[in-house]
Amino acid sequence: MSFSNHTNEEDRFYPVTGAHASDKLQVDAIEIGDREVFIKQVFKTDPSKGCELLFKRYYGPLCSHAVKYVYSKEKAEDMVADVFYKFWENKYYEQVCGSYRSYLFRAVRNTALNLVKKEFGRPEADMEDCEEKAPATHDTAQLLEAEELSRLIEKTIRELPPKCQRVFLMSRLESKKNMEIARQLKVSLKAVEAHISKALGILRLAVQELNG
Amino acid sequence: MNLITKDIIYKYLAGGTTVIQKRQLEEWLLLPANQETFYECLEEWERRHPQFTADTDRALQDYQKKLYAQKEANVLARSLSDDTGAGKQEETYYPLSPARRGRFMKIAVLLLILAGAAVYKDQLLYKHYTTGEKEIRTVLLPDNSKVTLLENADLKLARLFRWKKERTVWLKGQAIFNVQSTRDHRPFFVNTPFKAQIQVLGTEFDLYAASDSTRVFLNEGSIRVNIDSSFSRPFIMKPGDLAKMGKKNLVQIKNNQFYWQFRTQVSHTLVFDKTPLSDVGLIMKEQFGKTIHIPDTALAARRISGSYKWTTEKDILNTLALMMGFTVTYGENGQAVLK
Repeated sequence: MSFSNHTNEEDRFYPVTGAHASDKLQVDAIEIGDREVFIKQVFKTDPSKGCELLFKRYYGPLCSHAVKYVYSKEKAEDMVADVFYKFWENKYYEQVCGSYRSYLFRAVRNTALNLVKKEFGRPEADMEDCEEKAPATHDTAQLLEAEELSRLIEKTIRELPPKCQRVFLMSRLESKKNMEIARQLKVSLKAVEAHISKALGILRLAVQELNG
Repeated sequence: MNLITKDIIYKYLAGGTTVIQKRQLEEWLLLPANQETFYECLEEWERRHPQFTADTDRALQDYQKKLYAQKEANVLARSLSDDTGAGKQEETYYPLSPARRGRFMKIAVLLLILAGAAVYKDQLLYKHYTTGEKEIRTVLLPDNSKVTLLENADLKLARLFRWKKERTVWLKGQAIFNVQSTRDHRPFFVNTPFKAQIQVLGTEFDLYAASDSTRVFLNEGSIRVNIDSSFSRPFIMKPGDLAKMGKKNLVQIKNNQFYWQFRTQVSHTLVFDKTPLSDVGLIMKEQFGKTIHIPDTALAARRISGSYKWTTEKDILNTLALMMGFTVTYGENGQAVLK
């Protein structure tokens, strides 16, 4: 059985923040150590509802996390949605030990790493698919490596020539068509395409260098 | 060893830690419990520093389609194949999704325009059947469907009803419908002023359509309720089901309401979605006939969400009491008082 208190819509599943001061102690006791207790309960009776709640809660932050690797709004959104589809279809929610939060962040990160490898890595680089399995618990090294990678990508893009950077971001994060960018920046379509492929080239080099 | 604080994690995520701290973090992360903390911080971090605004609502809609495609198909299949109905209980509860304002506004604007047009065309295009105080009237529609209008009801249909591809009527007030199927299987729709449209797949139901609430009880056959999309997904009702749509964003389908007390082995679920405790009281009254009194207005206004399989009303109250930290006392007349 499951209930949660809240006083407004925003903190539906964050009873601690929404509860009256007098309730705080008592609610805290339930919440500490497992903030997903409500969602866990929902999964017991109605997995689809549980998935929906997780989606509402984590879709935004996960997209924000994913975009740091793939540097494309569409790809990040598709990727996160895909993780959620698999989560539902393959019933991964039954295998999750630990929190759904860490499961989802791991799954998104693994998917993102695969995508980065595919897009920027060497073609012959081995592409083990870690997204299909429920991710292991002790993947500290990978966790930190991934953070490094996102940092490297960020740094590389920051160091792109200004125009090149602008075109790249407009294309990948503002979902603008090449034609649109050309019109807006008053350059030729060819120049836009050149900027984008230059940015991708530099990124590819940087990522390949990191992977040795 | 444990020098890692949330501050350091946030600093790390911002790219501002020293190599030494990074090494410590690596050690620290070896513990699964610490990883949980790390992901908590990561979530918080991503929430506070979003890279872009993801369109969660739209993505959620797609996801919901996937999640509920199977379920709705099952419900439809069952309600079409099993018309005897009364012997089986269905668990079909659809909690409401939060309003999608943009879409709602579009619909609202559209409705406004249509309403404007209707003011002038109404008399020309439509025929009204109305009843007054203490008047009951049965209307035989051109397709031989019968509608019994209870007092103060207004039924509207197109003058061209007979020739329309879809049989559509509008109801304000309460009426009992007995819909006949036609040889060419024309669908029958009942529109209500408050958020819902009833698509008739079968035959007999009782509909109460007020300006601020809608209530449907299905007696025979099967109907589909198309609700304003900002409010809930459409759902299909089976005989004995009762659905209510009120201001408080609540849809309930109570299965075989008339028979539920004679059945012991069925499991019942109550779904609350941002429901104030005062409304929970009203629901309990309807379901169990027990009055619940909440003297403290602040307590009455507190909202709860969740689903609960219940056996008795005491069960529900006790669990609620535990969660929300109130006490339940029972008065002489069986009235429950929450404090």
